[in-house]
Amino acid sequence: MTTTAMTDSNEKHDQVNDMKRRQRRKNMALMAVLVGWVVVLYLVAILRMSGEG
Amino acid sequence: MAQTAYQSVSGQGEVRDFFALLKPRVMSLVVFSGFAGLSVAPGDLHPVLAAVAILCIAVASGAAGAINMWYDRDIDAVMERTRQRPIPSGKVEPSEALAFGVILASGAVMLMFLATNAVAAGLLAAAVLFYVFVYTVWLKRRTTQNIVIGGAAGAFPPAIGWAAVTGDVGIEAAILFLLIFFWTPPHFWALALYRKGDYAAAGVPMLPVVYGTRETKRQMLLYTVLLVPLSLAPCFFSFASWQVYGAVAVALSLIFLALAIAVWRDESDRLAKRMFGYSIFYLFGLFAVLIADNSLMTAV
Repeated sequence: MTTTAMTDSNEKHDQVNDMKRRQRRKNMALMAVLVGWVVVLYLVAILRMSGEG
Repeated sequence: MAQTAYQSVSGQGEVRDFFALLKPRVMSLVVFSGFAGLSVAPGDLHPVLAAVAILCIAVASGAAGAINMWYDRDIDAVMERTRQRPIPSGKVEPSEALAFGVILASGAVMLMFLATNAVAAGLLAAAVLFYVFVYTVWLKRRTTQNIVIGGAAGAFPPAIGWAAVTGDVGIEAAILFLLIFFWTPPHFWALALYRKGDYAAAGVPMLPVVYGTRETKRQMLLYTVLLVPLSLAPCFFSFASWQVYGAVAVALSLIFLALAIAVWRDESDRLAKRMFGYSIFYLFGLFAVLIADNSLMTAV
């Protein structure tokens, strides 16, 4: 394997890792939003049912 | 339509790029005016439900911004001010932005209905639909009156906040609506004056591009003159005091008027930038003092 080919392979590897890292961050953010949505819905339902609204 | 020049790289967007789609700076003013409507409205709303109502206004406003960026991606790529936005810079796919906006807007309206009432949810939906279909799709690229009529979308939040508490839209909510409606033209045209090259390049018929700077400055002054008595309407209708709100509103409005006169007399567009900055401070100040005044009136 030549040096150029090895460098290309490393760059590609870094790019894939970077993309995976970005995707993981987006997944975590989406999970936080969904959990937040569930908590808010729960709170709203409890408050409305107890006649606080 | 201006020629599409954006590049697209699917899945490259970071969380912050999606946040940028929500136009956070615009959102802050929308949230604040919505909070003002909610604060001055008579009646009680549980603090958690009030916070949810504000969250819904913020998310719906951001969602409308994301849909606007999806539709305007071609002209955003041409304008210097908007070239770095997530879609023209290729960080977010147009379809991702559209889906993001539609899902958030639907969720916000639904949650507003569950947390408060149908009137507030209906007004929130109307604000989003008005911004997307009336302003973005219909008016923006067709008429110089785009931001005058389209400005109504940005004027909804105080009325939504009011409706979240009371379940209706009273004269007080209408006054807060009109306040933002008449504030929008001098605010936006000040920006358009020093960015007219950008708008001209993108083919957006802003007033300075079509009728020139002199006519724009004349109309800015006209709207600012109308805004002075309107800013005092909360005192006339007894939901703000003359001693606190009235005094501050007179001072803030006279400075705004003085700036509008200075811009009108100025041959360059140098002062327009200052007027744009002050217009944001003006609206924040007016609503901040309205909230403070109402708290004082309630406490006494």
